[in-house]
Amino acid sequence: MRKRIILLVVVFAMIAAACASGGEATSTTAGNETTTTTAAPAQTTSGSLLDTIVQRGVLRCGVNETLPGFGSKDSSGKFVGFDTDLCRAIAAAVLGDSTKVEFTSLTAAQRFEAVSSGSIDVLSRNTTWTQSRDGELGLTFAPTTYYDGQQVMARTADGFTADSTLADLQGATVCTNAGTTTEKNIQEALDAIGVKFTLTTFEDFNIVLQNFKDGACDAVTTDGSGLVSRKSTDEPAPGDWVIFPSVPLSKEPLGPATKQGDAIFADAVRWTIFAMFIAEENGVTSANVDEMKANPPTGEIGRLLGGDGEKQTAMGLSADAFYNVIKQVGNYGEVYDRYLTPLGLKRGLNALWINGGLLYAPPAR
Amino acid sequence: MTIQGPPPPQEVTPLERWTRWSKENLFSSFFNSVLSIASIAIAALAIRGLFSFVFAPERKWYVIPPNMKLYWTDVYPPEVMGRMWVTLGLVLTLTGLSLAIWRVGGHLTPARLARVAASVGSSLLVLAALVSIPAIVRIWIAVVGVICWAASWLIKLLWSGGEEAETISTMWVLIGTLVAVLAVLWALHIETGTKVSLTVQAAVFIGAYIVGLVVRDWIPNAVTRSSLVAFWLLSLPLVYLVIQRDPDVSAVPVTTMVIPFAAAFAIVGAAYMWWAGSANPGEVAKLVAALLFVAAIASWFTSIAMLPRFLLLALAVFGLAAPTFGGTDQGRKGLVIGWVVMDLLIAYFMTMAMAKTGIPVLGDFIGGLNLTFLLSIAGIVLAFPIGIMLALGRTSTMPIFRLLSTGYIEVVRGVPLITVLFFANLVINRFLPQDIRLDDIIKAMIAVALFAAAYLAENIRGGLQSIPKGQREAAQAVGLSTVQMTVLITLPQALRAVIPAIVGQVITLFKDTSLVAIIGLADFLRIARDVVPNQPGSLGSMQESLLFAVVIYWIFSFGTSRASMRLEKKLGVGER
Repeated sequence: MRKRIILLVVVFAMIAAACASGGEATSTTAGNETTTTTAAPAQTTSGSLLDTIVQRGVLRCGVNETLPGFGSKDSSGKFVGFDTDLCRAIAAAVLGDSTKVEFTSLTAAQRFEAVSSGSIDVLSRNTTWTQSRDGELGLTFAPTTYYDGQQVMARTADGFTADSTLADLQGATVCTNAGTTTEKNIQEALDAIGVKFTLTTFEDFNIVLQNFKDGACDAVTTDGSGLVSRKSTDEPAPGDWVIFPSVPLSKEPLGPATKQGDAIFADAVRWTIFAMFIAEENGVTSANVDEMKANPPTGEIGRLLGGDGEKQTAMGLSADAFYNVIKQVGNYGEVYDRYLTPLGLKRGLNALWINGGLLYAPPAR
Repeated sequence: MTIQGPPPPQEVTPLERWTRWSKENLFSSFFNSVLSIASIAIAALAIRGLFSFVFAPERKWYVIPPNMKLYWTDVYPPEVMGRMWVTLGLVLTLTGLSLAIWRVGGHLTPARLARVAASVGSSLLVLAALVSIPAIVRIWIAVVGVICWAASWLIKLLWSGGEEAETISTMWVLIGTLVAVLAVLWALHIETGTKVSLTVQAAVFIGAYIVGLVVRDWIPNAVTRSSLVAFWLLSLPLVYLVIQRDPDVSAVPVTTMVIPFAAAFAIVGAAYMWWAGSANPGEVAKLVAALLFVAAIASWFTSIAMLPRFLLLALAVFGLAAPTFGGTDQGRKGLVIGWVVMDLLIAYFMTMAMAKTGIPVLGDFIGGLNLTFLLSIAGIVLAFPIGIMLALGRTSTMPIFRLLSTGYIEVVRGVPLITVLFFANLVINRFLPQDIRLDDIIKAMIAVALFAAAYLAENIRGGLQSIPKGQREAAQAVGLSTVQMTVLITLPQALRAVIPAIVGQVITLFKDTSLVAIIGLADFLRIARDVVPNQPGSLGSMQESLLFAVVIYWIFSFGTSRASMRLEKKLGVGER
């Protein structure tokens, strides 16, 4: 009996020891929780997401993996595309290293929840800036990086030409993919002019296009950028398909978005994009940025690249933040040429204001 | 009909044999002839249609080979790709050994082999003749067909006279085929690195098989088989936690926490097992086991580290099992050694799981077919113990257990897997202490396992109910306790009876894992459906990519079902 009691005591002593040492157990978080900030790079940023990202050392960015040219994965599994490079640019500005991005590919349905729940820092997923998203959904949009607009694509064999209008879709079967504003737009536009047509939706634009090729659809509709890129790759013979109307039936300004209520981080994102505009405007590229930094042609370029009188540190960024952006990612034009020009997308509205486009950045002073 | 003696043996020409066979099997009556002709026509049309789809000039099959890495491993960094090859090598080694040790595969007579080769050859030739495909493909198919015919003729020549005594092991035929496929691979334009890797893997597999053949004759089967099963079970955490995650273990927690805890638990636990496994530990042992169990449960409500929580729980389970397996000297030793091994394994894998990954990728880095395998295997392996517990709970006479098990099973079976995945993704972390955050993959594994467990429990319950009452009565008459009766008599028979149902579930689960795309994991189907067809260089290749996915899914599902048929035959399922 005594032996048993001793054993019991031993067992309970063991449990007690386990509990006691459990108190001083090291925590084993996977780094998901934000720790309290200790040293802020600048006084103004304390409490901002900007600080959290610097502490974490990684920018978390929500992107698309299903939109050629804007966001997709190459065969080695690397995220490529216009929107993904904007994330890299922001990482270069905030962290000084464009590779420090943790990409999350999101569906159209998941994207807003991901921003508001804080599981991503910035959403760069061909998202249209709208009033409701600005208001109800609680997003803050960065400057528009791509001006898109919904158009229709149909076959020239059916008598459609570049001068066709929406009225010519009378009695046609129009196909599009579900889950975006695209179907609502075409419905509204055609109802407004009293055109009777059949709208068929599919889950995915690849399936829409397959049906269009098989003749199940007379016309397909989505953003112009998508139509142009698919026309360049899938058209059976040049001139078989045509995109109209020349003035798109909707405005789709696409750009990165962050969570509302964090002006400091939103400013950092906004000026990263403006810096890319200004760099292109002044001919600063990733190739010549070192030379430009050494002897800047204008005061503005000097300031932007971290020279005397720079304004970056006041925003909570490092002085050479935008130098890093241009050096590691490139200016706006370079990123555009990297991904969108090969798809046959002309600059059009997305040219700089000096070239008759809409891209216009405030002065860096 | 006049009664005749046996007909004199006569030489039957192949043509005569064939006409007789078709008369008996295809055209035995008017109605059957119509059916046969119709089904042959339908099959021919379907095959023709499929081939003309696959070989149509506008098919973009060229997008598949460059994306192989993406299909198999998604974003896993190329510079640590060696880890994936190590994984494959490990699995192939175990497979090769298992095939040899379990004596898988029958024997073929040369005549049969020759017939198989000839029939494959003739079907290929028919295909080449009938299907509308590009000339170059036609020629290739015809060449392969002729090679098959030549092989058949060669076999007949070498083993002429058809001495039925001589047989070839099916495994060697398969290995020969594998070597032939490799030879073809070297003729294709594939990256040399990949070719070398694949050849090395094939060599590893064949080597393991030969080693297995040698070992088979030297070491008793019971030893090799049980250790192989143990290795198979260990390979899962080893592959995911150690090989693919490359944990970056820091020395501090290991020296200050893991080693002391593991050592303390090993020593104290071994002593406890030695006592609890003795011939007559009495009621105190049961009391201690119960208290340990309560302590293990309670430890989850304190801020104690993860390791002692798990170790306590494991020790409690061992304590509860001790009366069943102990009592003899051998059982006692087994309990002590089993506990020490278990303690070390838990400590090792917990340490690995707690460490940050050393893979140079930000975010999720496990994906593709690799993730599909990890999820389905982890799901079924984890579901097994839970499913057995639930089945026993549902058939037990204790009302609380029965209610809880029934409730759990019915709730889980009443909701779609997608819901369970969503729920797990959002809620599991809320149930855990503050300082523990699980990866999405682990959460998905848990969700899949919990979901599969409910269905598995129902299958096992069916097996339990199929066991005649006499078995239980006999066990009680011999004086076995309830636990002994379950573990030694009823469960093994029940599990054997429901192998077909369980395999069906494994196959279903393997394909159902594609739903994890909904919680943001990049499994094989998502790569095939969303990622590859949307690369700028491979637009409009959705059908090709999906067909590729279909073929891969089918190969593994079909392979599983064939393997299970062999297993059933071996165990004599359904033959009482």
